[in-house]
Amino acid sequence: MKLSQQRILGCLLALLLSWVPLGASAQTFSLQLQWVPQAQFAGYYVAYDKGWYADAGLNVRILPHGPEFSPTRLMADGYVDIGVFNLGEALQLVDSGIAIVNIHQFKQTSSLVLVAMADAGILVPEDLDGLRVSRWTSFAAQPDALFSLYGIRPQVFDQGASMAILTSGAVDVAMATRYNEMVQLYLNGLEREDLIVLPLANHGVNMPEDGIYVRLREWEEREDALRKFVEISRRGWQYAFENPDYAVETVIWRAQEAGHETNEAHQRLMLSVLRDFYLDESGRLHEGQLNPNDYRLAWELLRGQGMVRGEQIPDFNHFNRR
Amino acid sequence: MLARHSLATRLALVSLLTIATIFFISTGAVYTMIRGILLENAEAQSRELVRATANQILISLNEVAGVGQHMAIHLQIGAYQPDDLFPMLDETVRGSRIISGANVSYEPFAAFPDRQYFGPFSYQTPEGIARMNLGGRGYDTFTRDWYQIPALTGRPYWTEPFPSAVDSNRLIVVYSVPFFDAEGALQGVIALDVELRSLVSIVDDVEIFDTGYAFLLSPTGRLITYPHEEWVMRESIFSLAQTLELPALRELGRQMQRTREAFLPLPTGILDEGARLYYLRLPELEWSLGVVIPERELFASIQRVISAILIIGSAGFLLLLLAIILISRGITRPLKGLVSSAEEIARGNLDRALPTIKTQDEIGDLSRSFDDMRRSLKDYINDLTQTTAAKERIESELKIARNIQMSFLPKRLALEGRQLPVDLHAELLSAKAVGGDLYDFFPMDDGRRLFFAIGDVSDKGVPAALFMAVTKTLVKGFAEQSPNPGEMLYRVNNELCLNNDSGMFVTYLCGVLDLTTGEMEFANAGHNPPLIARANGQHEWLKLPPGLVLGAMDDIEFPVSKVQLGPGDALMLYTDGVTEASNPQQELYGEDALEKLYARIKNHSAKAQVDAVFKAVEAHANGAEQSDDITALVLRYRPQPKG
Repeated sequence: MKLSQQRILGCLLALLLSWVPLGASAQTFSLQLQWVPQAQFAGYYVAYDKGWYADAGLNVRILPHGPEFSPTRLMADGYVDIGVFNLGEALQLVDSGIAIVNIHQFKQTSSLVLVAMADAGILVPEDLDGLRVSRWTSFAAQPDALFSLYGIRPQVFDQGASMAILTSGAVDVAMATRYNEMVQLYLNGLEREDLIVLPLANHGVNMPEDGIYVRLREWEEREDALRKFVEISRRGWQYAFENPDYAVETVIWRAQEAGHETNEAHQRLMLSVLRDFYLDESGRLHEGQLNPNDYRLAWELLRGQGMVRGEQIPDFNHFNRR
Repeated sequence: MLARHSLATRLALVSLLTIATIFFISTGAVYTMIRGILLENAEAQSRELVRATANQILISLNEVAGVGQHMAIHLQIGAYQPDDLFPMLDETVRGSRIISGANVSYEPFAAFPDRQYFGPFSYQTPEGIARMNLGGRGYDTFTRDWYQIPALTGRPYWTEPFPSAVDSNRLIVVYSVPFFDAEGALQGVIALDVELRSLVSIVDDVEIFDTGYAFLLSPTGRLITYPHEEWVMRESIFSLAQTLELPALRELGRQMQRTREAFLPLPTGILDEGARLYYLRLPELEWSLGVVIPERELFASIQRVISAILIIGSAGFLLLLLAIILISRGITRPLKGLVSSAEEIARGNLDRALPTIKTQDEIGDLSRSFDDMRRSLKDYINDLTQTTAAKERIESELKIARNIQMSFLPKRLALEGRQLPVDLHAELLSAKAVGGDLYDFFPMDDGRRLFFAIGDVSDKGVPAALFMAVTKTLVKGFAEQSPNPGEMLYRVNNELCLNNDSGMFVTYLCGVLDLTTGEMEFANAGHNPPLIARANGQHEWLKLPPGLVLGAMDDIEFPVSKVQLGPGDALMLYTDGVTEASNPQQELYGEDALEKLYARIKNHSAKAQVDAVFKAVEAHANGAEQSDDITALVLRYRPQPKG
């Protein structure tokens, strides 16, 4: 508690500092990332550490990030200029009346999976019926939609940050991302054959992750600078995948700065999993365009779960500003 | 090469090689056995140590568990009310050595209908015990492992180490126990904080050998304590396996998660040297406690033992080498003396005395035998010298005898420069230096008649030669006085029979050819029939009158036969040395072969015929030793044409 308060105070201080104008021509942006410092954000760190944002006349401030900081909340409250979060969360913000737009979409496919120990005997989603399943509340839309879609009624529990809930046997099935928790389980000594994995995207509940979002007003006022931000961030990502040693080093440095214990193996594996989401077969970054079908599906999933209430799906072209 | 080395070198080499082989095999066996014993000891020692350490940890943890379960019972029976917990929590923290925080967190709205989060929490600070209410916005109690896992499983739970909520620099593990109401519905979770430091110090204090160390792994393989500070709480055995690319380390980690205890080699790559690991999985907590012992240290005592063995062994080798050299010198020195004596003896100096060897061993025996041999040899050679001298003398006398014998035989037919009308040639080839054959021819009646003869004494050598000489002399003496050859043989026989104590005899064939008429009278004393060749090309064995050998019996008659020779007719007389010459296969030359030969050569000159016969006999013998004298006489009648 005390820790969280300290961090929030620190964050606010950083925000205040970021508002001090550095130069007449420099465009200042605060960037709020979704989770603790890890390879999930390597591209932004690389672009920042290489000085590419600054070289492009962008004064980007990467704000402290972690479970204490909700990018959507901070964006809704107007504390951040640029946020990196999920389409589902973004649509919920839009539904609540906050005018934000998607300016880039790196990951087209959800990396979320449901994972169980191999002896749970789960083969298809129907097998989850009646089992104890935990999932993160902020990412509940997809699993909950999956349960509806297959007409199953598991006992659902909220999930914290640790995978001990699964390995201790407290639940039968837990939620995980391919790039983080699945790697974590591997580094806890579990092999692929020790686990059963149901990727949500393979079962009709895909929702693109890690989009770049800004408020509409911001976009209208500083479109050129934001386009530059996207371009530089892409460069950072391309570089990160081509130079994993550098990327992992900078990630670990940031994690240590934030007091978050991690290790090289974890970050390196995370980056290598992300490769498959970010890069096409030729090793180039995807175009970064949000797919209108994914957009429509995400809205319907959220609406089906009552997580958005709007009768009408917001206009895709209004939301998508790539 | 070895063959050229001295006996001493070979003896030393073979003995040392054999002993070295035995030495190294036994040293290897000793090494393996000691190594096994040391490993067993190390295993026992580390097992003791790990179990003792584990017990220390478990004692502490059991204390915590006891407190937690005690509290749960009290909460379940309603001994404490939610608003009355702090004094008890304060007391719990104060009264325990290792509990640094105590908390009771209730299920949402379970303590009070309006309180979603109610979690009175007392915890140790440097200033004393502080209180706070845990849970609320920013700290979601219900999704924390320490709360959620016991809440869901209904069982106590030990967490992984994590930073304390009140001081992120303090790593804690939490023991949490769920408690229920009378209906069995979950009321909340009791959480007791244990500072990792207090457990870690137990492990850090472990000392095994000089550089051995202990370490602790969390259930997920995280390094809770380890000598590498920078790895602690950051790396797990699995992340290290990944980063260091050591699949064996990952396997080890999985094994440590799944089996209770084991003693095994630490996979290479973690330490710079080989090491052994003993680990034990702590019950309930599921932590793994391990000790690592570098093999270098573990096996240091072997190195010392082996070094000592090698030094002692090497000294032993030198001693042995010395002993072998001394013994073999003892053997070979007298042998060398013997060798030089033997060389001297071989050069003929049999007077050279052998070195005196007093030892009663085989070398002494050898030396004595060798000296006996030298003396025997010396005697033998003395005898041999004398014998040889005697033999040489006899041989020289025989040579003279032969010369004398040969001089008895007529060389050529001549009568005061007048050519007789015959072509005659005879030759004798002795088997021994002095032969037993004889031939003879001489003109009679002033060249009107020709006497010729051939004979073979029953023996060979000197006695035969003498007998032959006597026979020849008698023939010569009686030939002129006797009217015919038969009469002559009668007289010669009677003379030979006189005083013939040795029992020798002689076969004899003789004839007298009237050189004017070609009429030939002949008598035979047991000799082979000659071949006769007519000028018209016919040839035959000449029919001989009967007659006994000379010298066997006196006063016997020798009938005379006559045959008319025409111009060009020829005779060949021979001894049985021709027909009975044998080859290495013991086959005789034979009369048939002689007749065939004769058919080819009968028209040749007398000398050519004799040569041809000798050549044929030599060819037949084919290198076999000549056993009998060989003699041949050829005569061709060649009267002067009349008118």
